Amino acid sequence: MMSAEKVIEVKSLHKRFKTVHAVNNISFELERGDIFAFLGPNGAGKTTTLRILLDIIKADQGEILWNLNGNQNNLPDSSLIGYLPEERGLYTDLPVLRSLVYLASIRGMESAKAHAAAMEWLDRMGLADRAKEKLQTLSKGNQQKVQFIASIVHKPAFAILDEPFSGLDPLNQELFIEYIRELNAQGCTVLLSSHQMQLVEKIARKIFLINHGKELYKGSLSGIYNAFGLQHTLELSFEGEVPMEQIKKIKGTELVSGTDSSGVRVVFNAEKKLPEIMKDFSTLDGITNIKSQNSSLHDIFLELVKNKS
Amino acid sequence: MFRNILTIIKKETLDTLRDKRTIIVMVLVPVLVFPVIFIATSRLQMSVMEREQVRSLKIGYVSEDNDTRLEDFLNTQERVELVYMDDAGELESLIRSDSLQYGLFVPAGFAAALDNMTETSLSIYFSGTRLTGKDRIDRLLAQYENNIVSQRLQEKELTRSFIKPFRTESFNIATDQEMIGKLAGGFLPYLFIIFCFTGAMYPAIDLFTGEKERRTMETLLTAPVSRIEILVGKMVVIALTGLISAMLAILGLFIGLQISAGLPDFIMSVVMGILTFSFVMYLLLMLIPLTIFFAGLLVPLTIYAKTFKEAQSIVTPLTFIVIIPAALGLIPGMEYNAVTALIPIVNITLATKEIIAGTIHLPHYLLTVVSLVGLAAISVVFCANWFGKESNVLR
Repeated sequence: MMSAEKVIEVKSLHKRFKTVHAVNNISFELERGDIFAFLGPNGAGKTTTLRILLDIIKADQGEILWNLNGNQNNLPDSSLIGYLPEERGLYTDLPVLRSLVYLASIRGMESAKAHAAAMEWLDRMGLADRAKEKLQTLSKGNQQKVQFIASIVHKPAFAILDEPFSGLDPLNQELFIEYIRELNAQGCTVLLSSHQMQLVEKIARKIFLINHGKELYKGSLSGIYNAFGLQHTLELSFEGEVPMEQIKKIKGTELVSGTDSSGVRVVFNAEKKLPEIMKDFSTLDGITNIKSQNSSLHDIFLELVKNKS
Repeated sequence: MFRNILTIIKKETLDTLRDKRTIIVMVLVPVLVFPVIFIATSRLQMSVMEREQVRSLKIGYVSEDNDTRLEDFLNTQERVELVYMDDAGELESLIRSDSLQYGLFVPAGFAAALDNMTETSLSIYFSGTRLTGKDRIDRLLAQYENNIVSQRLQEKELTRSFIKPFRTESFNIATDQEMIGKLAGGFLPYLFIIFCFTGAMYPAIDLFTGEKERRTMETLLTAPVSRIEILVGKMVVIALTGLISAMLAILGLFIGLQISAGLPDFIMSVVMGILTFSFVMYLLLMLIPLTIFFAGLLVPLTIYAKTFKEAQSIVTPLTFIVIIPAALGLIPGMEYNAVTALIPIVNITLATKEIIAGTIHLPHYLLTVVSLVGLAAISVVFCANWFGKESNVLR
């Protein structure tokens, strides 16, 4: 029996395509009001999982329980869902507004209301004066804005945003983060997928790291930092060859990866204090620079991938 | 459910009507093709005929006979010029190059044979590629022959009834409508079938393959619209475009007949008389399931194709599969019976011929309609299954 707070519960999902096991035993759940990020590199299985949730494709195994409107169901109530697909899915040869009104209409919105809501969003995104232009005349970034409007114009209770930051410049990326927060504040549960981890870090409260269709980590964002992120990461530069053997012998060293022929990134366990680490490294032959940084989600992901393999 | 289907129909119809390529194939070609063909061919034919009729005939005249009566007769005829030659062997190349229109070889003793009332002959050289064939020289010689016969009858003090003892009177029991229906009536459904198919072809490609190519299929599939609603909405538009295209082709045919000169009045009155309410109803009852069946043939292929180009290359050969049975119904002697009434497409051609002729056998017609409805239903069910498979839709 699913808890009343859970809006979706995914159990042991599997999907194979010919030789690829695209989704391999994935389980997770979202509670109402969550911002949940699905993270992984290209081809990790994110989009396939989202397509299964939306019933675009069927899972080979596993169970999905939706509870958006108080009734449990294996199939999503599409009228309550907004979907932003990874590959742009708009009618490029239609005027922007007409395309938005049509997509809102087939999601159950009355034409007049859809028209007003679409215009309001276009206005907010600075595209009101281009409402009657064909989508194909807009820039990539503006097309992504229209795609975003199309996915949320009908005020969904659950938004699935697949790579929402794709094609956006840094300024618009920040703007989109604000829009997603606003959407969430209005009660919309958000499930987003991205490979741009630095952006997701700013917005998600829960994350799911996936690679080669398998779960690497799931839980809260703070949890992953607690579990993996308290390590110290140093970037070292050397004059001449990197003394790899000397580095590996230093106490507390957990992971060494070369950045280039004269540089190396070293991760230490959290127990060793930074001054002590710095002291140990200052004695290394040919060292020219030491840069300290906290582990980012990106670093944690890389480390997890290496550990699993 | 109907609201969603209507939303899809409305959107797709508007988009289809905005598509220039579809408008050309669905509206302009069917409406204009017949008027243009009729006007162009009738103008061309008339101008060639007129030119031929008024053109001076150059006849290569080779005679081994000393008598000049035939030569004199020909020389008195208007727009006839005799070109005297010695050798019949030259005639062929001169006629082929159109320097001469005909050649006439008069053998020695031709006139003497006529005087003695013994059988004799003339040789005519002509090119069968000429629009008027050897009509004009035949008419000239027939006139000369008639003069000789009249002279002989006069000499013998006989009347014309001596050589033509009786005349015949013919009574055609077939009505004009029956004749047109049986002989040319197959042409009408042939048009319907071809334009119905080609009219539906581009919208089918645009509505399914286009949706895949634009990557909007995924957006559509995540909407709270069932796949069957999407399929029905789109199939209705495809079937409608096919039907409209067929209707416009017939309209074009009537316009073409109206504006083209030279058609006998009785054909015009029969053709115009065909357009009755019952005729249209008879036809629609067959054409509606036919267009749905065509949509059912086109949709799985256009769902499967990834790109517009791929869809075109898959769908185009299908045109022949449609044309062949449509043409089979045009074969003379092909009867509309309980068996042919069940053969898809062939049955429409045959039934329409009978409807036009006014000799339709109702049980056979019902058999045709029921079989077409069954075929349409099977094709829709097949499409629904096909559209439900992710391997086809997201290929």
